[in-house]
Amino acid sequence: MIQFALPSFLFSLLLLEVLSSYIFRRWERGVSLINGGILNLVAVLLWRLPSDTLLFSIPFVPVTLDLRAGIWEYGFRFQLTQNNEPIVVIVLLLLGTGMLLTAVASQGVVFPPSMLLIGAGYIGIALMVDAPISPVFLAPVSIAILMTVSVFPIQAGITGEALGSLRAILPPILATPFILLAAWNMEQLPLNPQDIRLAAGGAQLLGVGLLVLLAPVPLHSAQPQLGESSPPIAMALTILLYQTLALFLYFQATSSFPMLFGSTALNVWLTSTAAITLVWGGVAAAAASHPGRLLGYAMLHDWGLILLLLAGSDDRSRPMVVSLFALRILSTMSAAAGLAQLRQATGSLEPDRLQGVGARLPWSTAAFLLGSLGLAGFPLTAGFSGHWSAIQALAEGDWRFAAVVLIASGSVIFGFVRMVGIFFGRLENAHVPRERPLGVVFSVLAILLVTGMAIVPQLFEGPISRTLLSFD
Amino acid sequence: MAELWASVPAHVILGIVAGLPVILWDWRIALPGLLFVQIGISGLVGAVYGLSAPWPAVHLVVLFIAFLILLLSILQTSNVHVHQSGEFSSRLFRLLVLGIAALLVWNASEGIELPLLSDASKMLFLWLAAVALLTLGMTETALFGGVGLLLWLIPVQAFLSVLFPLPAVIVMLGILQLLVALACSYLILAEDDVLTSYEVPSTDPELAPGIQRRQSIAAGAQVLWYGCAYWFFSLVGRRQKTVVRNG
Repeated sequence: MIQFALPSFLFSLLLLEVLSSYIFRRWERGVSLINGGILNLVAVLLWRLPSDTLLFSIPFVPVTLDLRAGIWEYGFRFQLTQNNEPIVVIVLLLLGTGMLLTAVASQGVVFPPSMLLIGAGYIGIALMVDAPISPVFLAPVSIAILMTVSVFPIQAGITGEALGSLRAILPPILATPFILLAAWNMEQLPLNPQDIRLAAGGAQLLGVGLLVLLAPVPLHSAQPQLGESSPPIAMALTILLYQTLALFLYFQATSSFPMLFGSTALNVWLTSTAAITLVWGGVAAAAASHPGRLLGYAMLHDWGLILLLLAGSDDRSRPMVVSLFALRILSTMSAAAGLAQLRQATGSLEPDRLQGVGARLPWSTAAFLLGSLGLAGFPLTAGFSGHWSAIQALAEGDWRFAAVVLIASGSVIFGFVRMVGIFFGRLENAHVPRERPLGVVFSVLAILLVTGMAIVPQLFEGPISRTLLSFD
Repeated sequence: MAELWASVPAHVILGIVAGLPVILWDWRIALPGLLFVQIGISGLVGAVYGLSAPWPAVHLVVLFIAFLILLLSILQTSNVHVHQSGEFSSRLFRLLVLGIAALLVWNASEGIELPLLSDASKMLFLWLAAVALLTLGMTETALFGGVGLLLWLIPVQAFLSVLFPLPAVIVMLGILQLLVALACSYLILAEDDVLTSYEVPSTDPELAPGIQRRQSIAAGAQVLWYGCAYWFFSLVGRRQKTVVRNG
């Protein structure tokens, strides 16, 4: 019986998947289905195992996993802890879902291996518990490296427009020096405990670094641009993986350095930039006619609301942030699944080629519309419960914020009403093929998940409480 | 030598060279300019701030490789935006913006603390960061996006190496610089519609399908075999280490 530390197993598994998806790239559909299935299975198993389990024997294979053992390489220590377990599971689920969806709508030959490699990197960041500098401070450099690699799957050989990919890598690269300089200040604190400028300077730098990393306006432009120019699943995965780790880092930093809020105006910076972000997302969505760009603006609006709640920094806002982000993942993946199939069928997401496709591809269109509307908190979609509680919480503090959110959400919904007009108008292109059976299965699953979460939102309560416990 | 690098004229020359690409907006000036700035900054952190021997040279080698990566793509592309340097009026506008940025940096530098750096070096590093941000703000192409990002990373790499002379930090920032160059180099080619319309990537199975498929599978199997053998070997070694440390 061979015994592996869990990080070794995860990295080995992902490396094998990277190699298999590259070598057998001609059989992309089959390989993606197998790889995606395995990743989802590992994620579910990891989540369902009781937290005190130390060893796990893999059925039919003489391998035992030591779940809490760590590995050391070059001064870095990787270990699964209660703290990082939810992030590892989310990354695995996102990767697994992305691979499964690739089976119905190809995102380019380079997508599966490169995205798996990037996913392995994100898991590495989440598992890092010790490093030459505190992992909280070193994580932005690693995220910057991974976002730079992400340029390849999100550009996916598409010619012409390249600025979206370029802008996607800006926030982590710009944030890196601020956060590392904050690390130096924090490291000097025990040597000069009397020097209050060190603590205040460190907190200021960390606050600025985190704000840049969270990428509100004016660092937002990658989201809508990628929505228009990149393959939808690649875009959704890149943005969601990045934001998952950025939020994790934010929670870790604010837990480790509570003075962050006392010594800086981080709340004010976050509130003002988040309000502009959500308003801009709403206003621009109302005018967008490209469905990918519209999805990008809807995501931007939703991200602005999450940042606005993050600025609350009290015990009530944190569960709402986690809940909204979980619903965001669900809505975005559903919308991306539908949009990717529309793109696959029509060959382009230009509005004139999508005229009337709703009649020919009803399930994909429904998955896209329901998922996207969830990002605006439309009733009977996944995002409704999260948006409703967020608006109530904001109204208790200042009703004007709640009104702004409502108006911006209304703008996003208006944008999608126009899109419904395009999708269900007269069919322009009679050569658009009908949906494939596997595509219908995935679209129906997405619709069921999105509407199911709207009807029974308490299904998310257990996972959200466990995630919250891990952040405390 | 340390006196030369620490002198104010050396700092001023580096600052001017860094600002020139913004005004002239030409890759023939921008890429050598980056290299020149890196030589100066490596000399500065090595001679004045005592960064130990291999690291200043490593910084230089990394940027030289990044320079070559970008150059290869520039030589292949036919994109007019890469090869043209703009009108006189736009140069004048950029000169004006650069002047305003210089005044702002001059004013703001007193309130900003960069530990372990002299005033002149602090001013130079802030100026380089400001020029990088201006380049990023004004660019519409991947080429100058890459130039801006590398110009941002040169002072970041140098300053953080002085603060944390740890191999892990220096290596990670070096990897980031190389990846930025690779990504921008790829985007320069992606921006060129003409090039990508007839150039097929060598990994594409649609190119001579039969041969490509056989070669792909044979080469892939070889890579897989060597890779698995090495991975297993290192895994067993690491597992033993892990057992000992956990014990």
